[in-house]
Amino acid sequence: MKLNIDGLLVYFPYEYVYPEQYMYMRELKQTLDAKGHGALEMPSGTGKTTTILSLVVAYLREYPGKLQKLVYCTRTVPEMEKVLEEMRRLDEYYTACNQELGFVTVGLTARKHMCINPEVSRLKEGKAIDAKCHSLTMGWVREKFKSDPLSERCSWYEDFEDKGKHSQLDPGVYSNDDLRNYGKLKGWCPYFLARTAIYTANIIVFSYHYMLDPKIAELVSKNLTSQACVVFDEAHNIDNVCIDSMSLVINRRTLERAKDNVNKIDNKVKELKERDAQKLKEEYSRLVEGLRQAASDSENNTYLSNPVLPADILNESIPGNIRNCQHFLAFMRRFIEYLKSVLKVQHVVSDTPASFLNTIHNAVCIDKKPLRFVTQRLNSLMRTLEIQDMENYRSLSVIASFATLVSTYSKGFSIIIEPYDIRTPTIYNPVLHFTCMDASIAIKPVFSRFQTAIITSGTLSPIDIYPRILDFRPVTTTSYTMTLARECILPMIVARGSDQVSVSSKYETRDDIAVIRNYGNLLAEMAAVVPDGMVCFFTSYEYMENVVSTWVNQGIMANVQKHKLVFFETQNNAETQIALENYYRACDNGRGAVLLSVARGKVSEGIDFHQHYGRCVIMFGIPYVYTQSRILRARLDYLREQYRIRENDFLTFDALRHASQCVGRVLRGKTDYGIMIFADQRYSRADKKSKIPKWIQEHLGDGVSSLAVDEAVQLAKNFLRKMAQPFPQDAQIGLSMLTREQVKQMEDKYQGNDSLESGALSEPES
Amino acid sequence: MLPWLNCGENVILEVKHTKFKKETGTLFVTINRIVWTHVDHPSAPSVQYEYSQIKAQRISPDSAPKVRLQLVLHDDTTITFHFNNPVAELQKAERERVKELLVQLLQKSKTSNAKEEPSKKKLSKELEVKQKILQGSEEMFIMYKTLVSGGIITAEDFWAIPKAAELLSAEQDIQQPSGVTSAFMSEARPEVDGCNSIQYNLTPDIIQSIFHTYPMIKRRHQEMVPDKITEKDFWTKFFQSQYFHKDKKNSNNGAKNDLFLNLAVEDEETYLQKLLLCDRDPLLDISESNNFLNSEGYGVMQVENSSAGSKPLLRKYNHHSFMICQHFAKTDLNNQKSADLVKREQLKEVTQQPDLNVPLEQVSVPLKLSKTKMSGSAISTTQVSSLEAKHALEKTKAEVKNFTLCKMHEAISPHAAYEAMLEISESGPANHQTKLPKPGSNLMEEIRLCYLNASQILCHFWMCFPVTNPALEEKVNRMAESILKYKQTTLQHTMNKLPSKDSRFLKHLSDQLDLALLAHEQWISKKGKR
Repeated sequence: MKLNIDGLLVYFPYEYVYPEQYMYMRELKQTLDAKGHGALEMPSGTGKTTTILSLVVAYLREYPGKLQKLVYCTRTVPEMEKVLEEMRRLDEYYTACNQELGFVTVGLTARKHMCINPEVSRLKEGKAIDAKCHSLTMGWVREKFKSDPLSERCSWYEDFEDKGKHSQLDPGVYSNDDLRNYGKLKGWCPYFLARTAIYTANIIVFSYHYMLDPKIAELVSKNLTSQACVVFDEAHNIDNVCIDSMSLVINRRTLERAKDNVNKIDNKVKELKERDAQKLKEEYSRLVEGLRQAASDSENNTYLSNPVLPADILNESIPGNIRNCQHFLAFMRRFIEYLKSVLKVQHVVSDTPASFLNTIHNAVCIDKKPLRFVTQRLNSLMRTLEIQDMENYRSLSVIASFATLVSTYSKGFSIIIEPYDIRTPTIYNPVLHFTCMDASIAIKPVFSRFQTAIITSGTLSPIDIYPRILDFRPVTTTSYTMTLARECILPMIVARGSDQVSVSSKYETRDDIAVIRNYGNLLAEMAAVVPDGMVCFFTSYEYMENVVSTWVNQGIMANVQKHKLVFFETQNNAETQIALENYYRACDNGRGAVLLSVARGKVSEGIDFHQHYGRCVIMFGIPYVYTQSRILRARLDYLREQYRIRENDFLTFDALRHASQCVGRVLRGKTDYGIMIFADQRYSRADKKSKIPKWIQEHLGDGVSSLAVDEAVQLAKNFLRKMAQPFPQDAQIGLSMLTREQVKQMEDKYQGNDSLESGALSEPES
Repeated sequence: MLPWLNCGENVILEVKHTKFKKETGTLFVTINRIVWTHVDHPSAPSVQYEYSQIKAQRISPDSAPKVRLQLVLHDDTTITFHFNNPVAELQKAERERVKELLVQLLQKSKTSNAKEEPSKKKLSKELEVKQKILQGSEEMFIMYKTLVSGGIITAEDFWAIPKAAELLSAEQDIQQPSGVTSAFMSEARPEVDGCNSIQYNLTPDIIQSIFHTYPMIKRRHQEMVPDKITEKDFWTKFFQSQYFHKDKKNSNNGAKNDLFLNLAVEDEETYLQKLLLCDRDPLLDISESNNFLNSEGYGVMQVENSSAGSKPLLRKYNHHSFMICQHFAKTDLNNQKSADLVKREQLKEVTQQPDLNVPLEQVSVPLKLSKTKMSGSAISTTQVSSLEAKHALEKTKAEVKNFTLCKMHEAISPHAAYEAMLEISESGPANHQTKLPKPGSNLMEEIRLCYLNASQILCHFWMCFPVTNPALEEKVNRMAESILKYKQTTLQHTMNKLPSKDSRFLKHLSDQLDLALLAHEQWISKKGKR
């Protein structure tokens, strides 16, 4: 259908539209008009992706002068493919309406998913493929080929360089598979094709990391136009991604390996000196001239990119004391030795970057400035030495990244050295955590560079905390509820067992046998009532194992097995995936299954349990993060000092967003239905309840806020009976779904309001 | 040579000093029965039982004063032999030899019985299916009654009639194997009986389930039972092992249960390895989602080794459920499609929001064709959508509107057309003047049945041509006989019932039968010449 959003003609690829979608589009349009940023929450399953794509595509078409590009960031590869599929649907809809869209949409992922060189792609593992690809496509490898035609290189890449680089993709949607097929057809490398195409494409879909991780963003998306709209979908966890991308971990093994790496490089330098001293001299003089020219010859030669943000990279030439490669290697040795001595601790040490730099200067006379250039210097050296097996120098590059980061940022980071691992408190294994505590550092360039950035998710509550922790000023923050023609979700807080013992996963009672038994009874009784699939979440792997082994002894597992097959999420990814596939099969088959998994795990983040794959989800306890961790403590302190966010507020917010994320998995559309059980007495408190997303909260009345297990089972039975009735489409129209006429009425209403509010001052947009 | 021995039968074991009901005699064990002869009448067996009659055997406990062996028959009567060798030490040894032998022979007879059973089962199943068909369709039932019960054709031939055969095969296709229940282990839960013992209830179903789920156990069972260990001991050990107690530590009872110790681990390992080779569902891909960037050393926490083993308890549950899934009915219909296509379709399905679209053409006009056979194969009973129907209607209307007379000149005159139609219609020009009266509905039904039955037999008959082998030859003769019989009995009977003016309704049928009989005669004469 065609919609009129504030005077913008939007092609929407469906016959009806949800009211939320309509409102979302209006909000998004305003954000784009204002060239500002926004945070928008809309319930899962109400077609966020289609809404965003429809509106932004219409905007791109209508106002090419104002907006040139849509960058859609997703968390996982399957999510990315879904977005591309939705875009394809929209593209087809435009064609069906006899409109030519003429847009190019490209998805970009890692080489692992795109490589078509059989020699390389057979390696299967991501890192190995990356390394092999580098070794075939680096500038000097290709140089060498000119003199030695027998040496190895990648013909797909060569063909792409020769012919493909300056060709334009035809308009259309290109997913990974499409690019691979296209690449096979033309004989071009799909990965580099996509890398180049993102500069000309109108719509790009890729992973968060290409935007947020400075190590990769520098390589991939450095030259994107600023007249772009960047969308972060499923962004409820975006702060953790930001923090992850700027943090490092160093242990003794890293240091040992780094030392070996330095020795190896030293040998190579000596070798080269005997063979071709000229080369080293050239490098030296290049470094004197300045770094920029040295790097500019081919971006493909950069293997180690700078871990700091582009704005913080110094555009100066490398300081004199590390220009000579021998000097540089000695410098690195000294630095590594110093880190070794730092790691020899018996108690926890926490430090700020400033004092760390101070002590290092006093102890071994290493200055801040050369430290900042370590990554660039190392990169230059490795290029000169023509090192092929970069993969083996990983440890040294971690150390180099650390050096650069610690000397660049004095705020928002902390250094924590722990002598013992928490999980194995008896084994001496000192680890240096260099942690970013401020999520806003990594995302800052996105907000400052791009004209519009949208943060959106199904669960973004409380929505006002995101602008605070990410430090940006949004023009729109809205949270939509879900209009429903029938109450298709049944959220319940189970606070007690049938024996009236209150259940909770709090530390004091979590190992209480009565609590565990009550949890078990809840599961067993729900398994007997609920058809098809059921998903349960525990607060941690450890807790899940404890509880399950108690259940085995109490005979509860046998009870559950009478009704359903049981699957577990484990820490082994491959095994979990197999379990998941079989869980789906058991649901398809009608046998029914229970999946026991963990909040904050892979399943809770990336897998949907739509329709019969999930009719009920139980959240056992509140998934608080492990609060004793020093890293978390440091971050909490920082948040309190910098952003005035109270420790408890943040912890509850973090736990509740994961709990909501878990229970939200079960509902993926308005025709879908599901039961959501929060099994912890603490959920009924106001401070917890208020942090559950609005669209769940509004169904969470007092009547269902403090139930015993048997009451919950009774409610579930009634609910399921009601839901099993046929649900015709007509029932939705007008209530939770709008026809063209109804949309028209809304439009008229809004236009009336607008003209009333702004009176004669408003000028109609052309 | 003993007088009571059948030919081909010989004595495997003979025990001289035995007593039966206080009488002394000799016990013989042969290949298929156990025989006891009285000492006074050695020529005729006083007691003899075939192994298939025997349910089980029991022996007296070691502490008992007499050494005895008891046979339990299927009707629960017992026969007890007393071993009374004067040398007391030999008594037990003799009894043991008989017992061991019987264990093997009973087992053998059981398995041979079991082999016969499936075919029996199959037979009864087929009967069941046939009965179901006859009960389900009245038409078939009447046909069966007239043709088979009337002695016109045999039942076998009846089921070979194409229509019947079609129904039969369709019925048989529906059967599907039953899976494994998910809770079979818990069904064998122990019951405590009074004093300090635990009883497990093990049924053949549960044993089958265990074998399905744990192929290693099955293999071990085949290896061990009954050569090295008795059935009972095997299952006792099984219940003590870690298979059953999922949570038990290996080390605690490792020494005692080496029978199963490594089996569980082996089972799970083969399962994991096998699965790692298979293609994965791309939409459930969680293994690589974040890994490609979180390389070692970067990130807040150290990247956990994802290949680290999961806890055995959880893995066991996963494995257990997986094995049960393996026994689901296979429903892969689109396995010919390439992986890419499947993925594309999956994606389409997942991203689609069906409720936002107008449902696709739900309102459709069904084209009702009650007798599809008669309207020929060209017309199928597909539904015509309302849109299509409307189009067709409009098109026809337009054609009628634009219809011009000039085309009429090319066509033949109405009168000529009518004549031609009469010519080619089967009743011929003779009776076109008489207005055909419709017979009564009862009669009509009877005539219809006649045609139906006859057509089936005729179909059978004509299917035999060309006659290429003796079996067909025999069938042709049989069918011709059937036709003749049918003509003389059923058809004649119906004819007689009909008023003479209505006999024309059956004329065509009797012509058809005559034609078949003529063909048969010709075939015989031709064969005779050859």
